[in-house]
Amino acid sequence: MTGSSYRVFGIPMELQTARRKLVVGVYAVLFMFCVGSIVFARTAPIGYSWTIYATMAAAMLVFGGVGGLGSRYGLIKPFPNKPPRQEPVMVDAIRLQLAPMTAGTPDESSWRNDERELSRRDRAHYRAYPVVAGAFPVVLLLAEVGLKVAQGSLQLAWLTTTTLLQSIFSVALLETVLAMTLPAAIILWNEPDIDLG
Amino acid sequence: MIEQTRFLGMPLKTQRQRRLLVVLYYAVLVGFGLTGLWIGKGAWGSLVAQTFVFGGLLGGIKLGGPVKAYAYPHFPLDTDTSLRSLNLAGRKPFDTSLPEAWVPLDEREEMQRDIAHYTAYRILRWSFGVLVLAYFVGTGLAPVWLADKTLLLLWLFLLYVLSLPQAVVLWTEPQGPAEEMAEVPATGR
Repeated sequence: MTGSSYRVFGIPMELQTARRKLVVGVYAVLFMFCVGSIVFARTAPIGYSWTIYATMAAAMLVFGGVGGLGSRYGLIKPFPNKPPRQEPVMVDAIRLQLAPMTAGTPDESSWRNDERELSRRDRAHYRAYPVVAGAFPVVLLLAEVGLKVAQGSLQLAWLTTTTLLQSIFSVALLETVLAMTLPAAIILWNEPDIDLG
Repeated sequence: MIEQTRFLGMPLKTQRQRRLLVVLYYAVLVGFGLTGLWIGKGAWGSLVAQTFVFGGLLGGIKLGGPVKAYAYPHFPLDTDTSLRSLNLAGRKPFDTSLPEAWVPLDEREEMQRDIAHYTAYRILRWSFGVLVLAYFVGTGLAPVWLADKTLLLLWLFLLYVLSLPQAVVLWTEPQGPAEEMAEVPATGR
């Protein structure tokens, strides 16, 4: 499932333990971003966007699996199974006919998923779907309770509308982070050690 | 993967019929939404309680729908525990001889299920993006209306999320030769 590189920031990732440490590390950092966004939500309301940027960076540059711009980086080949955009070929090289016609075409093995990899990709999405979808009932439940508290039909001393709104924001933020990264994280977590011979 | 050839009186033998069911399901969902917006929140009742009835209507996440349940339904009294032996709850144990009993998915069905979830996940990501964008635009245009209807809109989106993989299965299940034969008299070819 790994793309052209087996390294992240120079650290080899052939071993499953290394990849699991990476997944834990990335989620720890993203979790810190989430906590920061929630804690400073009042004083710096735009802080949540930094969490989204950090998640995008992790998904594109570390985990991989993302199509489009993120298809060149990361450990996992792009999920859409389509070739990345062709790189512009050096004009001089074309003039001198030094480059073959395939000069700008990326190596097929770096982006095409074989049957096993596609099956792993699909299974990872099957496992991730309930986790991501599970956030919506939680948000709905919190919103329903929040509405009752706001209307005064439910009165609990420790529960205020502000607390509920913050909880909804927190769940939504965590859900966004998971939606962007979870399938790739599942693959990295489960993929056995890679033997490069 | 498709467990029933008839659902709520609708035949599901051909791809066209299955796709019609998906279209009708979402049309009914939109109808519910519009009615709910029109009536007001007093008539909604507990949305959380209604969720799994409508969300699981196409099957997949529960038994009885046209799409085979993905996993074995676990009930609290399903295992052979002393609690079950004593039948303290006074309920009937889960009977595997019932027509709704779950049969494990075979390899091909598991593959179909996984592919459907991959497709649904991709659709969901785009839908979620559109939802967030629409919400931001909506808070600028009609903040009071949106605050009043957020709960119902959220509920509709939840039903959409729950039903999406099953809808993908029903939509993409290929047309077999037997189904084509069955469709010949109907189309007059």
